[in-house]
Amino acid sequence: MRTSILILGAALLSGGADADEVFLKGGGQLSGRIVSRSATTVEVDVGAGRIAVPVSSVVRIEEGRSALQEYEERAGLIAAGDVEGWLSLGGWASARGLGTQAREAYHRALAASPDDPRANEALGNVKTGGRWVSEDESYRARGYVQYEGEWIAQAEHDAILRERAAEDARDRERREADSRVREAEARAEEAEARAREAEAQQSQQESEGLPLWYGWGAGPAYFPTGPVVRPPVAPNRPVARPMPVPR
Amino acid sequence: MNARSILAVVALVVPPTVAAQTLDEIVARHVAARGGREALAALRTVRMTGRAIAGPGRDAIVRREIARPGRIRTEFVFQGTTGVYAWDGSTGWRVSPLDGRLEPEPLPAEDAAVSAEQADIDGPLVDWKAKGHAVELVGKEALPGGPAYRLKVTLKSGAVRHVWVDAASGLVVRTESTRRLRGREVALETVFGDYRETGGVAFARSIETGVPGRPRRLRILVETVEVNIPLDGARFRMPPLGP
Repeated sequence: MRTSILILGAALLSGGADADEVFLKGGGQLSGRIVSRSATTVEVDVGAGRIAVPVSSVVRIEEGRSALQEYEERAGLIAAGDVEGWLSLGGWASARGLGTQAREAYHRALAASPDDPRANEALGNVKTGGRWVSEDESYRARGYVQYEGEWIAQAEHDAILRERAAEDARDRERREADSRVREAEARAEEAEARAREAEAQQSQQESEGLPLWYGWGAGPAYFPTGPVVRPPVAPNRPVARPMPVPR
Repeated sequence: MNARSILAVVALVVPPTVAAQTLDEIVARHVAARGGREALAALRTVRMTGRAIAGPGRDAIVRREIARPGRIRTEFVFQGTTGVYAWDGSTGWRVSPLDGRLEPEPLPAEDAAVSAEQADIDGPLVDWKAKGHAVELVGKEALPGGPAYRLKVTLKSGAVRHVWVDAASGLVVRTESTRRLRGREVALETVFGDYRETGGVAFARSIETGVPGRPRRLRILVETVEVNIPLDGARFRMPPLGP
């Protein structure tokens, strides 16, 4: 087994393209591995998916050894049953913002030792009634319900539904009261449908997160929950649909 | 009018004055707890580096730089991407690869306003009158860490923040405001703790944000604080658009 892991590690080392740092205007940066380049686009694998960057957005590219590549090198040297090794690598990845890789390492630790409290806690699992359950299961067990990606209390959930039902009713009454503007109404409904679709997309994108800026200045609109990578957004255009990648 | 009546009249008239004095005392105590007026005035720049943790697999590196007058830049490193969110004193902008935004672009108005608010290196209570804010003492409340004075801060912009100043330490331990999240007004609370001094000024090293009644929290653990380091003004300005 140890041999196969070493082979896997060697394959990762030899098969991987260069690890690169792609610097964007204003200090934005992508760190990972360039998987394709053309006259107009650079595509970077950041370890949770790929991001296509227009060449016009790139200030410079530095080839080197990224944290992602270092993770892969380290992972290639850890035996499957080495709980401490995987836990240590999980912490290492986590400290470098490599959430996907951290989860992967903790899952490997858990596979080797399913009851290890450190691996379980690192994955958000909670011990309930003598067994480890997922974070979501623990919320469900405590009476929370999931709504638009957030775990909230049943009372808040009911209040939101009441509020939205009341809003819909008010909208309906307004529409019914003015039959002269049916044509406009049809247009409005169409726009509303589009807005709802956009809202649904937005909700999907923004699910499960708190705005970082509230506590500590500006930041991403919402903290991502995991490996979600998005295609570039043209300035002044709505955010594009997210491009989920496998966990 | 006897002495007792005079006292009664005085008691009726005095409460607002007493409250104002008490407020002044609370703010003065807060300034002293941060390190004192001189130490705060000597602060020209701050860089804080730490980790933002929203749950398993949601662990990012954050760096925040603030420079007088009123400039801020936050960098957010997550899953191989580095995003930049900045305010140069008049304009807010961002590069946010995580959101698919690879070119510098202006911050939405609300985010820009919050950036401007966060760019106040001293915090809103220090010299609040000169800054054009209004502050009133709401009362004293019991928090898990002990009693705290609740202040209502109406910023010059009109935005309202509630701030709890710990009665024992004089440090801000909690803030609360209402924000619009996904189309709904929700209360957001932030709890500050683990204050430690750098350059003679106390900085919170633990910052936890959440919606009351909801189980998830966003924690920021500040690992290093550097003060009065050189920060080029260009770091805060939005780069020119185009090739």
